Amino acid sequence: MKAYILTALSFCSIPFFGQIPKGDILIQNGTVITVTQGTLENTDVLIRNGKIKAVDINIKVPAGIRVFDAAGLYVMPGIIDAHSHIAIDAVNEGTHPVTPEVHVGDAIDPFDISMYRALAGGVTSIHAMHGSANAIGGQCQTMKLRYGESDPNSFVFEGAARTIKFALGENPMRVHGEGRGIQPRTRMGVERVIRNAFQEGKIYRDKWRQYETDKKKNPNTPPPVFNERHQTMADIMDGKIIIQCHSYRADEILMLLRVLHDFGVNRVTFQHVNEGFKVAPELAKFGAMASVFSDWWSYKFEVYYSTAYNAAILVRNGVITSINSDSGELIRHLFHEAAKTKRYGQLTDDEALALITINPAMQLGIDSRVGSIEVGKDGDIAIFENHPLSIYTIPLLTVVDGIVRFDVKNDPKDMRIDIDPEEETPTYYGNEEVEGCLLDTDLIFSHHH
Amino acid sequence: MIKKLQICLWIWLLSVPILSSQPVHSELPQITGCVALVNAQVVTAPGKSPIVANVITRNGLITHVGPNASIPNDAYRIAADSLFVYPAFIDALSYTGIKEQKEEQGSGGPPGPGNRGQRVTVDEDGNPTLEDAGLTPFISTRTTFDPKSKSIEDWRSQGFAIAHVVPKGKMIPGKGAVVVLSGKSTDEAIWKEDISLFSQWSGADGNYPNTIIGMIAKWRELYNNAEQGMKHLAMYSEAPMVARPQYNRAHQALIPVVKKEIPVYFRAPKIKDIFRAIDLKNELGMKMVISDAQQAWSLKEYFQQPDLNLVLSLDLPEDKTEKKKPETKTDTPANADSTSQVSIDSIKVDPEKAAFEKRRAESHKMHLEQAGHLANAGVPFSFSTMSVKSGDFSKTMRTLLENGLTRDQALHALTVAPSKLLGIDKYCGTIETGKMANMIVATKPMFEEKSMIRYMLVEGTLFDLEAKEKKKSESSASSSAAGMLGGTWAYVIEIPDQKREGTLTFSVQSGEVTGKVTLQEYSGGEITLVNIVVDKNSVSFTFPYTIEGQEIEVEFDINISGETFEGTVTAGPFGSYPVTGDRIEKPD
Repeated sequence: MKAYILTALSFCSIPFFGQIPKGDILIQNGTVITVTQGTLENTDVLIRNGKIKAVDINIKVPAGIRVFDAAGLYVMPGIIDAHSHIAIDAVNEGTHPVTPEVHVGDAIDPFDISMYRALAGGVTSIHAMHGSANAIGGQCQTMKLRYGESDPNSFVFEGAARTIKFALGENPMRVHGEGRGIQPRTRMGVERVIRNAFQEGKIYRDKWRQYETDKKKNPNTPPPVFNERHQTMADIMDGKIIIQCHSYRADEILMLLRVLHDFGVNRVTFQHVNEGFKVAPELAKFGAMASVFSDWWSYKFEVYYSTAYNAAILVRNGVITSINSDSGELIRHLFHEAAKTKRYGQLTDDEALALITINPAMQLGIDSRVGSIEVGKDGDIAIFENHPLSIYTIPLLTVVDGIVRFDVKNDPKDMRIDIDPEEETPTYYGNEEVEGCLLDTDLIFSHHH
Repeated sequence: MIKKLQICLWIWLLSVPILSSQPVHSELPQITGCVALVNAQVVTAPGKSPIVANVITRNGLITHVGPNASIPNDAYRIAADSLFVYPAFIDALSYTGIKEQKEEQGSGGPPGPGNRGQRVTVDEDGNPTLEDAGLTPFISTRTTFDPKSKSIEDWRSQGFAIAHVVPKGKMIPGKGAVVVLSGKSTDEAIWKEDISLFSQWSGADGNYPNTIIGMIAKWRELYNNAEQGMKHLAMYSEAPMVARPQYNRAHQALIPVVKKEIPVYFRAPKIKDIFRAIDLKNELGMKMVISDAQQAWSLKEYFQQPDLNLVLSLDLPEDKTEKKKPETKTDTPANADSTSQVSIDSIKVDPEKAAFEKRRAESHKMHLEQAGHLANAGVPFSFSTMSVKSGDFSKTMRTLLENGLTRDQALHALTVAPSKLLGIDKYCGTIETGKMANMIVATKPMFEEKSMIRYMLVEGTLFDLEAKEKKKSESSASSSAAGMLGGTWAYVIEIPDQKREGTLTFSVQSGEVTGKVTLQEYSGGEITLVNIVVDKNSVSFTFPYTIEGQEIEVEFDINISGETFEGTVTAGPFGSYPVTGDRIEKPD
């Protein structure tokens, strides 16, 4: 069996005009859970050059292709985590309450072992997010877990929608109000900071429009000073970016809906949204989406109240909902997290699996590429021993673009790529740094989501 | 008349040994401005075999090289029969001569509840000043250059004649200069000014930009506005009715970068740092030199693209395996049978740890082999010294030679390659008629274990390094050291807002000085001092110390005056602080 993952930085040259590697594989005789088009027994899935070429019975084996026998196994689309902070070296530029000009995609860490662990949980794509220190944080990065590549650019999900982190409530209030003595100190302040930022974006957009008009009359019109902070706010108002808003309380969720309405913005996914169940009809009416934890709350005051039925209530009210990890640990068993909605809310199997596949794909603007097993979509597949919603299931094989990135039968103990030459024992050997929403802010909290 | 000149010459020649043993300055007096290296083994350029030749220099230039080059009457002759002459080294990126800066840092934002510390000022948008943000492309090396800095002598003593020196700072510290390591004043030392922009991934410590994402966004903002400002400026000077451009100092200072007149030396030690810098170059379109690189070995193809060059760091990772050996030995009786020792060890080994150890050793080896590997792959590179101490230079070079770099490749990376990179290859890098008289005169072939630099010629100025060596050995054996230094001293280190106290104890026996230090906050008892050097009243020494799990070298440089001393303490990367002390106990 060929090991696809290069497990050390070697003298092998990393190609400069590096193409993203694509693979071929035929998965035979599995129970194929397409999520969008039902479950097909004894079915083959053929992936050629990274794309799903055929989903059918008895596909003829192309010459020289790797064949995986999935008889008795479950084949599902690769899992998508709509809220993660793995695989990036910076989470919060927490030095200003409004930082839409920063991109976590500039800080991709191709060597983060967390990616391999996520692959071992069937995850193939993640939404690496800026943290929640700022009312308007940085732009996020949708990534494919092509662990084993060294060029950070190889992890970018080409063509994914632009997304940006917003944060309401205690985190921006604490980091900036309490920590730095500036706005926002209260929830009122958070609203004011967001409104100001939109207004500045509007003024900036007007300046450029004026410049474009004036330039036609006088080619010597000087352009305005370039400001990506304001430009990004303008891009949000122009519908080019999907807001991903950290939020807990129903009142603040409604507040943001009002602000967005005032500035003509309609693309938003609320993150965490633990009181989303209280305002589910309002969210549905606005067209807002929601990405939640399965059953996690009470880790700080503003999130003292929630319910494990949150996801099911949102789904039943017509809100496109996903379940996310926000953690390097939960990301390894998002299939368990989704399964909890069977117990709390009696969602169907497909509804439950949609929470970690097609729904997050819609929230990230990648649903034409991933999130279900359909001909023409990317060859991102997770294969499980039992039904993925069974507590007894085990992820066996994870495929990204037709390339096997995790194989339980070929799972070396040490999957690090970049080894610190002066480190006798790896830091992750029992002493791991915890990822989280408030990483890179100097404040230490015991709970930080 | 001729006779008189001869007598003068005699007196002058006779006086040389006396002068050279004077400890004050190792620079020989310049009388005629002419030096002749007679019958030396000369390597004129990397790749060339040594030839026996005379080298004549005058007024800072090499005037003749060859076996028959005649020796002018007024030349200061060096009988170099047993000596080896090489072109002097060029440091592609360094802080040589840059003053240590005291940094005062706040965490941003105005004072308020929960914000009682010292804060920097921010504008109404919440942004700190350019200086507090570490965005000072308008600063030239000159402003923090000290021609009397000891680092100049230190690096010159290792064979360097020219250095590309950049200011210290945060993300964009300023513009670099080519410096000749002999000048007595800043004007004499600085040869070419503002030839580069220096940048690194260093955030503004709690101010914007603090993290890598903030820094990259800031680079984009600065570059795009510099580009825009440049166009605006052109319009303003050419067309009527154009508003006056009001771009800031940082934007203005970046215009030469936008015009590709000067390259950006981007300090990028690790592979991720390198990728990010190259991405920035490709996005914005500047000329770039990836600098101080420690992990560039797998990026060979990247360095084939135009406007991208490479400077490797001389900072090699420490070998952690060798350190452990003496510890295991001390645990066992001296007469223990070596075979039984092996079996005891092999029982103790945790297989998981052994696997980690194996991978760590492989990675370590890869770092050491990088230079040789890149040289064999035909990737041109120079070396930077900014992350290393001058005292480790020759050892580092030997390590690189043991790991695949050839002597010629090493010499190339220290002479011809940096001269091309810095655009001074017309003037330096080889020993040729008409080039700057920058030469190393060594006792053995370069980088051999016992090879010592006997003289350095820097733009014709002759430095006698043997005098310096003598000085150290003589004075450390000096019997007066006992009376001056012996006994116990109490010291106080002044770190802003805190004091560190402890004691130093010195004893001198048969000319050898030993010493120990105690630290108030350290419960581990006395630490033995190493590298004790006594020179008249000045004393320097070091000792290892662990701060937050990181072992650093603490260095004391003090001047003793009777029963008190004062000086500085350098705590590895944590900075330098003033120290004072009093003798509290005389030796018995």
